[in-house]
Amino acid sequence: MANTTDKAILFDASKCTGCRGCQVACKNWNQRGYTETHVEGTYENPRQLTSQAWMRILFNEPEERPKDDREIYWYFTKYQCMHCTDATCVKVCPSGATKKYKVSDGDSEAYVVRTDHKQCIGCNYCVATCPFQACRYDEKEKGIFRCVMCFDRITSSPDDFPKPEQASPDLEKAKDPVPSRNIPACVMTCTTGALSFGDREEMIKKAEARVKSLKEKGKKNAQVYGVNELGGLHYIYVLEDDPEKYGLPANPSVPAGVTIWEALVKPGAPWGGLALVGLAAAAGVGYVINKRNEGLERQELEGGDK
Amino acid sequence: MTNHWIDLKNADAIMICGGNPAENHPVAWKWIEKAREERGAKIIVVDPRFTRSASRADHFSFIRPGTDIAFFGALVKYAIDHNYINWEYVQNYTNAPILLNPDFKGPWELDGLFSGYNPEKRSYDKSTWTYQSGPDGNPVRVQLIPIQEDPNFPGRGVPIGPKDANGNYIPLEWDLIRQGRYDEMRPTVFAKLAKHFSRYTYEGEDSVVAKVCGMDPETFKEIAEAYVGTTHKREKSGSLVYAMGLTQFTIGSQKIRAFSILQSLLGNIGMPGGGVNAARGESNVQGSTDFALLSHLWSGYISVPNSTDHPDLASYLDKITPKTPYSYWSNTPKFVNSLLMAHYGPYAKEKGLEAAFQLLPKVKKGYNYTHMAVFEDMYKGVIKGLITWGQNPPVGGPNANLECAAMDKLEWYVAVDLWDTEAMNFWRRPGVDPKDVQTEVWALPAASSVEKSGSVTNSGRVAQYRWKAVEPPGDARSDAWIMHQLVKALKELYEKEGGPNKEAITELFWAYDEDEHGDPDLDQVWLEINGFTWPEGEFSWEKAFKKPVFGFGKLKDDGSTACGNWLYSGSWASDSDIKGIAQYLNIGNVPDTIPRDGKATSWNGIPFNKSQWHYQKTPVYYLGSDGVTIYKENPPSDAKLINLGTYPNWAWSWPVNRRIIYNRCSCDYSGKPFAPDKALFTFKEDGSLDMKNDVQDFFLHKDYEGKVSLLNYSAAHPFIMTKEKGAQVALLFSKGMGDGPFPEHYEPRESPVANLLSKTQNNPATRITWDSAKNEPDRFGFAEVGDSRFPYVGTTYRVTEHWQAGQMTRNNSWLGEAMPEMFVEISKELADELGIANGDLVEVESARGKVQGVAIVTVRLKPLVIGDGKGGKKTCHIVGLPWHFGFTGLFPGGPERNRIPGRSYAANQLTPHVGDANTSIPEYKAFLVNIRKVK
Repeated sequence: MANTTDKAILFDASKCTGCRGCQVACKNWNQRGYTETHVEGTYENPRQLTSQAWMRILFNEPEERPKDDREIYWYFTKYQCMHCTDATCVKVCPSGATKKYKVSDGDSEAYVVRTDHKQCIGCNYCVATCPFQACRYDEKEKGIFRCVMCFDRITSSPDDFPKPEQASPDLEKAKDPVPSRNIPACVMTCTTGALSFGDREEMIKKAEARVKSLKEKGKKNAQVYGVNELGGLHYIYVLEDDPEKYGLPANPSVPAGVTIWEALVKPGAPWGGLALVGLAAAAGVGYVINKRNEGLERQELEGGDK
Repeated sequence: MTNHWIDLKNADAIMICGGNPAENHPVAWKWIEKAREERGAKIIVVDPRFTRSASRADHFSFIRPGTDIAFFGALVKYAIDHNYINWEYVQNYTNAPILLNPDFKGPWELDGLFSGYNPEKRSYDKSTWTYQSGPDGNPVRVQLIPIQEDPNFPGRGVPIGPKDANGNYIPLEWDLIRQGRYDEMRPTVFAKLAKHFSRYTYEGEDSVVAKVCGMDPETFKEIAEAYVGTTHKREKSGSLVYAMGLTQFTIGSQKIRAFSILQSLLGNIGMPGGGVNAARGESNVQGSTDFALLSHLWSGYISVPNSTDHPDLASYLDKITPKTPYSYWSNTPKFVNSLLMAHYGPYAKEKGLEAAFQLLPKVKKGYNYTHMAVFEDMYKGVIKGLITWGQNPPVGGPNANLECAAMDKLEWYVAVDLWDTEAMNFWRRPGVDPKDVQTEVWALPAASSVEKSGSVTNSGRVAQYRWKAVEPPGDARSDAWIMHQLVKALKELYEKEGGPNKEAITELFWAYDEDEHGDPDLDQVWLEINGFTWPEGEFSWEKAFKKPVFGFGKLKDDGSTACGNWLYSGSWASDSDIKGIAQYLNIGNVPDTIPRDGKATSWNGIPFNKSQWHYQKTPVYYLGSDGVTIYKENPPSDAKLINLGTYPNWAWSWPVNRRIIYNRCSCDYSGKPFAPDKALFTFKEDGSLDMKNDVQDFFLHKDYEGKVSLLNYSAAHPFIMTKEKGAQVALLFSKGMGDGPFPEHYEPRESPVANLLSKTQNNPATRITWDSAKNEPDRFGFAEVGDSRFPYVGTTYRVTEHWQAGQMTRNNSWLGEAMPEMFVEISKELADELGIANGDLVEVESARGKVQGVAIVTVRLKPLVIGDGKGGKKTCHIVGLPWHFGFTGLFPGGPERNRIPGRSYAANQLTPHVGDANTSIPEYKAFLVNIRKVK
């Protein structure tokens, strides 16, 4: 389970207006570029997380006309890496590039999941197995990209964290986190109070109180999401309705086989390294291999620099 | 806004109609959400589309575009039927109790018209739109509810009558009201109002709300109960938040009036958390209207003189100054003469104010100088040159094809903007051969908001200064630089070559110092706006800075003061202002007189220009557990801290830093706050002010000093800016409107159905066919009622990701990624009918043009069932179009991306040249279209 000292971002969907300020603020702080998009019959864009889009807002609405206008909804979901406690990407990473990072000295164990590009071998296993489809490989930058929870804003020791190659001028100038900067960029920019950041336990308490008040106001399906999923996510959600209606998996899980894979192939396992893939397959982790291949094929189909 | 942004948090119900703050004013939603969280306010959204605001609302209803008066009228009827009326407010603070001229007739008698209509001129003779006067010449005010009448102020006083179960006073004529026998009532404004709106029915499938608006009557009742049923209570208030979805119609102004009438009946105006609040679409649009952007007004909303009625200053002042001393506009001569001094000070000193007045150009009486008229004149070749400043007519103008065709006829055109806009490229827009356009085009690159200093005035009338953060790139210059250098060059040119009315330019007082970039000194500009006493002898800024005017009350009509905009007078800190802040900042040794030497623009770091203030000091008070007792300090431990979020030292708002206008109405006649938990003022025994959470918008008249009627004086004249004699009150019946003293529903110029309320189809007082449509109906004309070629209702709107005509946002790849191109929203039902699938390329066509976009098929739009005007029903489909896209920039949205070929580029190629009777604002929000699948 998640540690009591962990930090988390709370996304209160009942306050989100879908303005996408967070989507843009994320790109600004992390200096992400542009992905070509087209209108595909929805306001939602881009339609997938990419190495350039570490978070996006999902626009969810009913497919068919409800009987009553009161049942029309337009639910907005902030979607990105969930920083699972039980992180599949960390388990499958054969090179040890993907790890959990500490944020402050008080943490007994860390929670920000991040891939060190120097160590990343581009195998795409994490891309293939992530239960939230949040890991994205970039051919040009040779690495896996996903939300880093603005590690470089929130950590008490920013130098621990390598700066992005195209750091924003702000980051270059300020060594010490300033008060307005010690929360993630998305939280900082949120105008309606839908996003907040703090101790995970506090965020859960806040979420539960909000759900209670929403239920009192007649939102019977209001619920908290992320407390126990995958050992505890580090994004806690307040939802007014079932997770599926928000485009979130109801029961996300680590794919079967990943655990065995972890035991056999991870660095530090008795035989070490990729040389043992064949043996691993023989030992019955064909699922992971298949997934890996699928992932690589998809990467090829989707393009990227060849 | 009558109130301000933060004040939305004090509302007990919020009606969002004709606006979409979640999308277009995202920061506002913070305060709206706070009202819901902290006060349990219900948020109501009424819109043709289920918007992002609707997604967060407690109540939502669809409505057919352009039918808001029918909806608001039904809300008024609902309030009257249920006696959901704050009678103490209505009796004392509105003109409802005034007897009307018996010759006045309304739409219920004249089939949609008011008395005095002239069909040839399409205008009204307003001679019957009057009150009955008493022997003193003042309007006769009767008792609608039993009151203890104030001997000094007839028809006003403290209510003494019985109350109903909801706590509202029972009006004297309740039996007649209840039975709908309005004709038997005394002919008060209220009786006629009740009669008028009794036609706006809400019960059942045949009601006006169902058949005209296409609303579900049950949903209407839920909404009415949530808004009217809550905020009629004296301690509750509700706020209307609207934007262009109410105003951009041929009946736009009357829509706002309709809701203002409702707000007055409910006692919601002047209250914290109340008011009528226009969410402005641009950071400084409030500021620009304050400063004479509108063609019929000078700075500070003073009527522009015309050459027929105002041959000289004396006749001008005589005609525009109201004759009642109770109206603040009785000070108009001080404002006008100080403005003349600001424009022509040295000339006026030498030759007199009359000579200065003669220099100013006058408009032609009755001539229309608004946006559409300018482009009509351009198309006719009357106007040969054009300067636009941050404006993009090919994207943002109504009937954009016409507006581009008009620009084709220009000899020269100057565009000032941040980016290479559609306007700068109109000569090579899709479908046009550049060789056919002879216009010489100049583009002046402008600095963006972070590249220049200056203030903006937001929707809440708050003027806030911003400092330059970075230098502008390349040749870009600040707006102030461009204007300053232009004036200098013009002065030089007129000096050298002369020209008509040469002195208007050469004698213009323009003495600002320049900095090293050539920018004018903005402190000098601000001082001039605020006003100063004209120095003895030769003018120098040093002398002027020593004698600022501290408030428009100190302006003079004898030419001894200059003031660029009386509304902004008082924005320069007085000694006591500075001392207040010094105390707050714990600065000691404050001299008795604050030094104002030379170019001093601050003292000890406290700027004299109050728009530069950013002090968080705000008044707070405590409410005792009895819910009535108010403590300014030393509260008991169980008292509740109240902070209304006024922040009077954060920037500066006009007038005189008043954050909520008409605020005497937040207290009842005897001076007790209607809502103690959001009190703005309390009064002492002698009628003077005790607690003060805002700057008062009323007089405590010195003649009444020492009498209790000091307080009554302010209660008797709570709307000091109205101009009518003896009635400084809210005008439920107003002579000021061109199209009727009460709001009446008319259909938009292009409508699928005949008007169900009367045979008068369109606003009878507006110009219904401009010359372009008359001369070239096939190109710029209209669809007729129920036109089979154009069976659907089109409406335009904005999205969060883009801003206005897109100059700024369509050149930002992060925003472009989120909202890349033109789309068209339609309901699932219409899509099924026409075989259109989500993501298909479709073409929308009106009588004036075509535009293509990608279909978004959704349940967030819904076919509405309305009355067809022939006794039957009809399905009304709505087609939604964002109007941001064009043909230049990183994200043109249209043809450049190779998905959308042809001549289409902007939604406004579809919209008509027709506008409101009072303001000429174009009817962007309702027009007829057809839609077909392209591929």
